[in-house]
Amino acid sequence: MNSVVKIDNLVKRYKDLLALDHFSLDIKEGEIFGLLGPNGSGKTTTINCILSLLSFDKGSVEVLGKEMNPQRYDIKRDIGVVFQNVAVFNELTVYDNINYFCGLYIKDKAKRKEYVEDAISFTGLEEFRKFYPKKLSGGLLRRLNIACGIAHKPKLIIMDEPTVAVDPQSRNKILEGIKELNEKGATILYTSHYMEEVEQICTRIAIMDRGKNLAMGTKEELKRMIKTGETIEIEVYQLNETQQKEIKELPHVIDVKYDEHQLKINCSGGKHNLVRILDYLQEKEIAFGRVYSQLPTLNDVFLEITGKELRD
Amino acid sequence: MQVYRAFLKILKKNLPAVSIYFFIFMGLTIAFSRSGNENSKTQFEQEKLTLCIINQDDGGLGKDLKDYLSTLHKLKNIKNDKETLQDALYNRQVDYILYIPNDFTEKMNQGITSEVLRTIKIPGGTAGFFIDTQVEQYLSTLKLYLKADYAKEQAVKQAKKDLSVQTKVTVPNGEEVSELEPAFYYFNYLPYIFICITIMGLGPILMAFQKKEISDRNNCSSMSLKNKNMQITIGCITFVTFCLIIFMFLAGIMYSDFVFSINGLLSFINAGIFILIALAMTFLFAQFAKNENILNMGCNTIGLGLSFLGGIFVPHEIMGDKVLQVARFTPTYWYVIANEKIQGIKSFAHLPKEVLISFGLEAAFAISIFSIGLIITKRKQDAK
Repeated sequence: MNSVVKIDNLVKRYKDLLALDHFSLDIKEGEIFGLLGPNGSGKTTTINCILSLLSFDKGSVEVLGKEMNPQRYDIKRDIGVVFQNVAVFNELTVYDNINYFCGLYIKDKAKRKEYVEDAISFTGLEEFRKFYPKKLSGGLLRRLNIACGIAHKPKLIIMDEPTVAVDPQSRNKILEGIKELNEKGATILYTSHYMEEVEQICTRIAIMDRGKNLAMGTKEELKRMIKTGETIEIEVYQLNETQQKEIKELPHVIDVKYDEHQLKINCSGGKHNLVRILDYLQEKEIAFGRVYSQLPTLNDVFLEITGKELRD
Repeated sequence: MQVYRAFLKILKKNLPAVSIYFFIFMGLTIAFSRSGNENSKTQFEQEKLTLCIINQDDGGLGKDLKDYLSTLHKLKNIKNDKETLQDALYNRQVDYILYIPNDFTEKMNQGITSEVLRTIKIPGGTAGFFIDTQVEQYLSTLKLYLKADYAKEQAVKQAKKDLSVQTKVTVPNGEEVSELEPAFYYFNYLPYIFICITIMGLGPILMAFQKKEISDRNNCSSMSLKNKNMQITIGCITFVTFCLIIFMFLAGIMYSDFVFSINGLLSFINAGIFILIALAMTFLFAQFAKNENILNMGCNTIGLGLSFLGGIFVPHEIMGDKVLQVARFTPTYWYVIANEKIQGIKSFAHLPKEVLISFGLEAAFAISIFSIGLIITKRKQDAK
């Protein structure tokens, strides 16, 4: 598959701060590529470098097979951007805003009208076309922000945390919309610090922190990179240190933590981990309550790689 | 012309706010230009008051005093009755009542001038002091001649002659008063209106386009930066041209003789150059203004500051030398100089060089301010 975005050894400094540290990335055509990292990890800087909104100190950026620079209007024609902050004119109506931003790409009036209507219907803003942005709710405003970014039907859509401060209902609608755009042929670069979103929609993910690409792959590949294959949590009323030690010695158990009647056991991949632990508790006549078992999340991946939680 | 169309749409949205400024300023300008005309007397004229003189002197000097005062003020005959006289004063039929007693001539001959007359005045009024001074002056001068052994008639004649010497008082007001004066005031106030209207009309639009999110989205698009900037420039020029036409049209209605003359043409050029300065100032100010409150504040500070300092509201003639030295560094100063000189021009052949120098300096101001704005924009871009 062709590379839509190819970043090679990108270095960006803000005075003494190294925002991107030899960052590399390769996004293939048709992907929904997730860029996952905590706030300040360098996601927005990466996007701004891809769009040539920021200059960089070292490395190269190729978009749609061509080297990107601020004057490459031919490449820009095929890029749509949805910024983290809503970028619309408060003085223009919903329709006029979409029409304006679409008009920066599409000169043909009839075609533009058709594209604007498509964007309105895609984002469900039909009833609000004459509204001014200040009259819209947070969710609707985000949808308008998306409509302005995608109205010209670009091949590559870059979305920088488009669901920040959005209610769950609107968030689901936005995520469904992104999948739909991808199904229609657009390649999507999606950044977020919400691992659930990235896990839900992205076909491939890069985890970044402090300007570095820490790991990259499908979510399954990422999860296989870490030792934890399963996390079991059991409500246990009393557990002494000897018993904790014995549990840790059970097969596939990596780590055991007991705090405030919650027993948390990290296991490597293996069958019957839960059964084995429950058998031990019954054998030792240890009273227990609710039991949870879950496969590793991207947060576990991030935690194991960086030693901190995604939202720290 | 997508950017230009959006520019006009935003302008249309801002138009009610700009219109309010327009009508307020228009009203004020017309009021100022009229009051300016009324207050533009260049010659001093002595105030005349209404006096009632009760002359009981039979020596002759009382009559002479009465005659003298009648040349300075209006005299009113009122019945010599205490109550009637008090009523006349109370109802402001007279400003001053003077009793000349029957021994007035006798006392004057003896050289007594103090407390020889009795007066009744409006309490707290300035009129009383004014007439007191005149009467005192007359008596002192007369006493001087009587002491010098002048005959009574001769002394009176000399005293009247001495006091008739007048000093010509001219109020400094620059040029001679002419028929074109209301138009002069109209054009003199235009810079203030131009500064306020361009800042309030164009400031929010420029700020909207310069907002980081909008600017980033525009810069990501396939429309070139040059094209976008050109369309915004055309938008700005459309606005200032529209403003200029409106103000010239109104001037044409109110002062048609002036507008369709050589003076009108030069005033139009002067105003045209100044509105470009206002545009450049708006462009520069929009680089710093973060919100509309700052824009409002800047509009008042820049508009009023330059107007007062440059001589729009205060004539140069009554400004101190040091203030004028500072004022030379403001565009409004040169606008006012040009506007003053334009009033006296009869033909192009007699075009004073000050007018051309002022035009040139105003244009230099516009270019300099605009260049500073461009440098700041470039630095902002480079900082990325």
